[in-house]
Amino acid sequence: MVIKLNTYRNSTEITNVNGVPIYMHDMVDASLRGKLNLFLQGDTGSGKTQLARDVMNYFGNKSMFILGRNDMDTRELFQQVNPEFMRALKQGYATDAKFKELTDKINYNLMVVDELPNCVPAVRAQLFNLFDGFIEVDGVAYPIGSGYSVGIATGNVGQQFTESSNELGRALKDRMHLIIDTDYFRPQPIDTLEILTKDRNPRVKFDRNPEDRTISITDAHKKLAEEEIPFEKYIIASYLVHGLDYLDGGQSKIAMKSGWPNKVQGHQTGSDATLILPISPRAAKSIITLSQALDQISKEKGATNIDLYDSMMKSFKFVSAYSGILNEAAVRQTYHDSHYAAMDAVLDTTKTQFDDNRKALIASGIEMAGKGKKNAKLLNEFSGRWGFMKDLLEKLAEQNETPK
Amino acid sequence: MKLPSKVFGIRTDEAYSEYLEQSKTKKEPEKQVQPKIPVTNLEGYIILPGDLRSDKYHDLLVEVSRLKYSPKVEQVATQLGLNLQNNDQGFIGSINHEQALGLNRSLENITLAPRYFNDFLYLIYQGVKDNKEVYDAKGKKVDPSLLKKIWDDITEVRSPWRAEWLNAKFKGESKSGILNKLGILEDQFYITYDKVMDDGGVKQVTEELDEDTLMKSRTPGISLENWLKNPTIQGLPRKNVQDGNLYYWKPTNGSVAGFGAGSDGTLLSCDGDPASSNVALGVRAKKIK
Repeated sequence: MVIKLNTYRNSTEITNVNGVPIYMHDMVDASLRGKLNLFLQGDTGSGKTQLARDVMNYFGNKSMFILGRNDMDTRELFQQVNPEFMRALKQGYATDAKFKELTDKINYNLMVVDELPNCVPAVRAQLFNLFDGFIEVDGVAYPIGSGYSVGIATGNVGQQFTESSNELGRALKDRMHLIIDTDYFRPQPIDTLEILTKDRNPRVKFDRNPEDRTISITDAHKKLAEEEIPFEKYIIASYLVHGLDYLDGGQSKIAMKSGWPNKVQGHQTGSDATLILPISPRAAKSIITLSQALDQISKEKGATNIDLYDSMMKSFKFVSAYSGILNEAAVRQTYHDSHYAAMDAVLDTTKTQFDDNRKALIASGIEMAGKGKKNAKLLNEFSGRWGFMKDLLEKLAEQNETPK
Repeated sequence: MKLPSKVFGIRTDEAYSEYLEQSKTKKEPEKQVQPKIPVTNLEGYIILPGDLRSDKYHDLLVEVSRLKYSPKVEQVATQLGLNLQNNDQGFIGSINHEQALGLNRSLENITLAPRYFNDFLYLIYQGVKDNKEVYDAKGKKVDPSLLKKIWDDITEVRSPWRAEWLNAKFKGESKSGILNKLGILEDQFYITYDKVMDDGGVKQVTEELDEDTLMKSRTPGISLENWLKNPTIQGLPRKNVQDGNLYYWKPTNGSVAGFGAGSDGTLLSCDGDPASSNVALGVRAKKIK
């Protein structure tokens, strides 16, 4: 399944995975396969609405478009989603069974929300629920979308949205798995020429005869979900969760709370210790999923050498750049406000942690743990930010220990 | 949990056997330190190869211009209680020696000691005069016209005055106890500076001044070219340095070093007052590559 968007054109390479270029439509493809909610952040006119509209065409009548407005309330939202549902709520006759019957009828697989930041927090919360495939009434979640549902939202929220104090920022980083700043990947002049020569209508185009490829998209998702995840990806993800949390003396960045990064002292200030927080387990899942999808897409595009580390790092970059884990002051001062440049610096540093020597040590450790043994010397090879690996190998060794 | 037999393309059984074999002779693992962020986006830096001369050190990145005011500098300056701004020439001036070195240190930079400054200037000289290829931090060849600008900025005899502090503090002691008209003769000198170690680490060291150091001021002067080509191991002029137009003031007890150029000439001062400052006296940054 390779997505080809009808109107949106962008030949700017976003990244390169396994030796093949990845474009905006590939990232959209990956988010659909991975069922990863996608937020397209960018300035007006960068084509993000058209991109979302084009994706809707793949879902026939199983997609829904909502234009975010600040005067929209939850009532209006549900009115749009399913008028009957709202009526049932209003009349107060609905039972759990009735709600289930009504939510079953809501079979949208894709929700597109244009200008999401315009929505008030209560509406946003319900929209995020819809993205994740359920409606919550009185604390009970009712699933929608026949098991597959994903959301694409757009908006221009400036730099502030990643600030932890910002309510919208928190909501976005919690519920949108992948945030791409389209301003960094604007279409090339040839794309613009193609768009202009094709049509001079400046309005966003709606395809009147949408092609329903919902089944092939949901199948692609199932196929991806069933694929076995290489063990290395779990190790890399564990490094990002635990290794990046480490500070000298065994301190934890997360435990420092608001003391990070200002209270980090000594030579650590020249390290990524003050640039990035560890990822959350939820983000780790998104990174692994995106990496699996990118590996699959790159294979379909002709890649023959699959580098698990490469796709994990590229996924880490795009999942984390706007997820609120970067030191915003450092991004502004050292990386000229570019979250992607800051992530590149983190990736460069991470690469030094996964050199051949370390990979060989990890392989040795896995073998040791598989035999149910604990070699103290080998375990002590994993110290500092690799201390988590020592703990992990010890536990795995205990699990594989031969009963006496 | 079933563990794989291969990770990162490495067979785990082979890796483990190899490890066990090597571990028989291997010492206890060293404690791992926090990794440094590799320098990726410093276009304003030039690579100073550590093997420019026979006694090598780790490659360095030297800023092409003196330290400029920036939001990052502002943040650090606030912490240090400094009120800084760019002068008319676009670099930070009006800082004394201690402030200059402290500012660079807080910015995770290192101030150039005479040895590294001499090497840096010699590299630029070779780029300008001998067309030697010089590379920026990204590994891109530096345009010779930029090298010429850097050379002129540092050495050209013209107005306005441009100067920078160097990372060197001198101390004199009397080894022989000889009395002269000025008191006790200071015949043993020490230099304190931040030395780049082989492994890329930086350590403040105090060394006896090379005994071949020129300990007589010449105003003017010594040959800039000859000093660049044949300095002492600490980057200062040798006793047999050729005559020329570069003003030179020898180290004195408690003095610091600086280099500058203006309409009256170019100078290497080793008798600087650490407490003095001047609007056109700034500092240059270097980083470990």
